[in-house]
Amino acid sequence: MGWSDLKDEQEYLLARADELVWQKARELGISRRRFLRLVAAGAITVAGGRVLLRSRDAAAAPAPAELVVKPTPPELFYDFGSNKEMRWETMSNRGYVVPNELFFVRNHTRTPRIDVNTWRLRVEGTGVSRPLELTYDDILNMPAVSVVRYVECAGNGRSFFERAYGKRASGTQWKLGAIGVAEWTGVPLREVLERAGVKRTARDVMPEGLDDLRVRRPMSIAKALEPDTLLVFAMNGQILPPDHGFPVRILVPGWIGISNIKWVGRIEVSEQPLYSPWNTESYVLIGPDYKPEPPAKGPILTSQNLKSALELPWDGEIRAGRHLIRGRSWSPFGKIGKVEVSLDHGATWQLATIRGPNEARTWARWDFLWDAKPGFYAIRVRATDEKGNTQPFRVPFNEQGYLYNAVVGHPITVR
Amino acid sequence: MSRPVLVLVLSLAIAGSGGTLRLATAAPKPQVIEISLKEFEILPREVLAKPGAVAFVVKNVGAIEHDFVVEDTNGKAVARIAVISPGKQEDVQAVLRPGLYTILCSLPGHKEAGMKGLLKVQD
Repeated sequence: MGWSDLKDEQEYLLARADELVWQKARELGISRRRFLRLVAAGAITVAGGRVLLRSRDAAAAPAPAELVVKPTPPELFYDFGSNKEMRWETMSNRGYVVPNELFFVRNHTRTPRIDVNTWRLRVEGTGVSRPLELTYDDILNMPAVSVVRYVECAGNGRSFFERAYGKRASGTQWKLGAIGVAEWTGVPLREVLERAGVKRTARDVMPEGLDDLRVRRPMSIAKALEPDTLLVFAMNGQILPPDHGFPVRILVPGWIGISNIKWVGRIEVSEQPLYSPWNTESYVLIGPDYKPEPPAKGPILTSQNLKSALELPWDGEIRAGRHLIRGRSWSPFGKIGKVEVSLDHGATWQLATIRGPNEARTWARWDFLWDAKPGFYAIRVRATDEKGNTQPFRVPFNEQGYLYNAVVGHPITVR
Repeated sequence: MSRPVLVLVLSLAIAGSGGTLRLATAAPKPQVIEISLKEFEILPREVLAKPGAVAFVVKNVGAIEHDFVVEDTNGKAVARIAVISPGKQEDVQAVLRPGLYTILCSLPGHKEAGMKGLLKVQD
């Protein structure tokens, strides 16, 4: 299998899951069918890798009391403990990217404080012939590029499952603010892997964070070698902030947010498929509309999907009169083709005007004029991308609450 | 390893007046099991319960969000609290048959970090 294969996340994860089944069955000396039966019966659990609760590196300082470093006042963020959701109204009348101080925070535990003087990035594993240990200065002295891309939590929109189905999905009850677009500056991961002597036989690459859980998730070598897969050290022209992965994070455009590992301290490159709890136990679709796909508990999560949001306060108020209402839509698959808006519960729709830039893996801004009369409204937005993907009106329930991208009624009162 | 906790059955089998047994409207009170969650533990780690209705009262005494799931031996969730904010307490009920169950936090990485325990349901 060549490096050009498995750039699509779904194909990659399905291929690796199937290989895991074969591998584990061989190790146990049983047939693949027998192995799958045992998994289904709960006699075998398939959890990739280990979890270390404490950092082995001097670089990660003792955990402080604060979960997040930057100020996250309630007027800018919804507070979910270690997770902070951007309030969409803060993006009204702003530019294209989300300023660092407004960017959402998704922490599995808390932001580690990294001493850059002792921090090292290890690149190792069976997939490289010259294992590396890089300092921060080594990274800064490599050729760097800048790209504008979005990073979005796979659970963005999760709270709307409860509105649609009357029951909550597990996890942070985001509305639509677990997304941000930034200009990311960093070293192409390809550059680092080539310096480490990446082998033609390398198959998987797994960055690992220095946070308490050692969050890690593999990607295919093909994805790792794409030109916009970066080891990021700057965000919107500033040193990468602690909450966003200082000293370096991975940017994996188009893949779900968890792939963009923060506080990277190690990158394993392997000739064998790699697994972690973040691609076996979690980030799979579990629910009445999804069948188990052993060893995964359900269909393995794929790329992010098409969504839209309004730059308005949630359940807020505006004055009666003419307003230019703004919003943004984003798709991992292509440019935004059209955006429709409904002010009458979906009975009629009008086109919003799309404003550039408009590229895949970022977002497009749009607006529409509204002569608002007093009353209560639920503004509905439905985007379609250039590949023909359209936001649906219903998303099947899944227990972990991923990929909710149905049309949402944004409540607003006009006085 | 903590000692198993035996939770007493608090239910009353007889409802209504005059000692009349009215099965149609009888709603036995569930056993109550108190659970604490924090990074990255579930306490107690082993729990005993009688078959029947069980109410889990789960408090998040940690600093970050957690959830709470009771899984049977097939890995099927039989009770779930979707999210419990730091400092908050939520509850969920389930009718459990005799057997072994796993109690856990299903948020990514939390179970693997230690947030799982054993629930034995037996007479």
